Amino acid sequence: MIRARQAACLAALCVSATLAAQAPTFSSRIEAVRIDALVTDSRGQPIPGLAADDFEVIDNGVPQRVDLVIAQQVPLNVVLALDSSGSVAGEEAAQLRSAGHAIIDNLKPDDKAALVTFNSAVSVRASLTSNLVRVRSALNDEEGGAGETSVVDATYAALVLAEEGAARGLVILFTDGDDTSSVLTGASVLESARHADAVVYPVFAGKSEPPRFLNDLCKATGGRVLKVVSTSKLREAFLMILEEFRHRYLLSYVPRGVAKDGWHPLTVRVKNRRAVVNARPGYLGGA
Amino acid sequence: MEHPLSVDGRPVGTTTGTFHWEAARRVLDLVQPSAAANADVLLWYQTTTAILESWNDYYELEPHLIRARGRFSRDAVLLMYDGTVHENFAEPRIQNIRRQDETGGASGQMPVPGIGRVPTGPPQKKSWFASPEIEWRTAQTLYEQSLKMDPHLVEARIRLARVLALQDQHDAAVTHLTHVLSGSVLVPKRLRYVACLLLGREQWTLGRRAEAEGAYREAAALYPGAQSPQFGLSQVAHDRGDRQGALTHLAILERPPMSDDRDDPWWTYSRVHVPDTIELMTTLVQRLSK
Repeated sequence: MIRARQAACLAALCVSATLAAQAPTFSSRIEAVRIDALVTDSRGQPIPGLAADDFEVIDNGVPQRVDLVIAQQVPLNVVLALDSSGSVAGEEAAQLRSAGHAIIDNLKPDDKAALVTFNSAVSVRASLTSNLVRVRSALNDEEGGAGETSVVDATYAALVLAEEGAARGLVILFTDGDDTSSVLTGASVLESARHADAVVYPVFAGKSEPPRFLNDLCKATGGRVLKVVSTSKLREAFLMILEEFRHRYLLSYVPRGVAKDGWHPLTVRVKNRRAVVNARPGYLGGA
Repeated sequence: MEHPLSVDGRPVGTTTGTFHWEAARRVLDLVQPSAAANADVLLWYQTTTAILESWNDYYELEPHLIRARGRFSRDAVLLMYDGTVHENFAEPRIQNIRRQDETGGASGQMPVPGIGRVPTGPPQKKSWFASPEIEWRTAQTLYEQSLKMDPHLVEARIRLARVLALQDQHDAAVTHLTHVLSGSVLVPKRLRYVACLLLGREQWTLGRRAEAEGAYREAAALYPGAQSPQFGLSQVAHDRGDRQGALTHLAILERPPMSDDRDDPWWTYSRVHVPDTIELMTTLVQRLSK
């Protein structure tokens, strides 16, 4: 995850959340960049225990010196974006609600949550709030089971909601089908996602392969797709996402040797070992 | 409704075929001196096609349109309806069924919640639907033929623009949409709204953010309670780094989902908007009453 726009509040957060030995010296006038990275081995298992020196970050072709922030100490903005179209009804809708409650139950006091549901229409049932009772209540009111699927529009709305403040944005996006009714194109929302400050974890329920949009969304934001065969596994999948997200690596640096404005392609690697790094492919500077 | 089938007195299963459509078509074939030259028969085909299309009953619509176009091959409205069928065949909700066909789904017909009936077939036979690319090209050809017969049929032009855009012909799409919106022909409100949304989308794709914003604003003025133009406007704001502006446009999503003022014609794009089915039925009844 990248944050290049809220340098002042980010600086304050990073200072409080960084180990003393790694404390960076942020200036409130310097824009810091933050990268939210998932590091896994060849079997897809997260690799714990890496230090800042284990990472190699290249911004627009220029290697950068990075610091490591303790991800667990940075609050989360969790947006649940849940499919409520005609194919998600009855028992499936109940299992989806249960999975949503599991996420809310496991948030920390500083975390915030929001609930977006979508069929043909996209609805913000609870905007981003630390009042989790309100989100729980909105979840309980959700019945689902009607209309088509505007998953692309809903993804866009969730991304914008998740970007508030200096917290880490996480969008958990559940759907069981392809988009059938969005007004925004998938390509345009992928572009917005590359510029947004949130990681999307799509959860797809079904026998077929997840729609391409969901895979592209992960590449754009550094998330990963989870496929469940049955909605009875949703609770487990949602909790796994939250756990994994809390244990991602949060790299931070002040860009040096690169132009401030424009698109910055990023490469993030782990030195001297085989590892797969899932992080967004770049960020838009200077906006 | 299921009907029992028998061969030589032995039951061989059931069918859900609705024979009355074929019966009606055969009766109309007997109109003298020529069914193909009779305005009432044409109106009947246009009206019944509109009814089947509004039900998304592609199972009946496909043979119905084949017969209709066999009789009235130069009718712009029927050509447009046929184009719409193929435009819809390219959509994911139908293509997913095609994929099930290819992996061995049951043959016959499939009721699909929210989208009516679609024909399905066994994998060893030719599928009812082709790939999206082929369906878009077919729809494009039919819309172009329709416009050749009636250049003022604005819905055919709007739909042509959309299928061109889906084939990455964005400049051509913009040309058609601009033609619709700036032309002298009166464009019904719903169609004007759809044209504005599509134009906003295309201008955004072409990197013309100010033009996209203008088109979305016009759509928002036509249907102030609809969410689709607000998504476009929000995206334009987000793209220029204005998160607060992006959020402000999304405030419309906080209204109760069932509010009457949230009507958004975009959600019914898959159906033909003009001529309206009720309007066609009324005209047909009036004509037959004389």
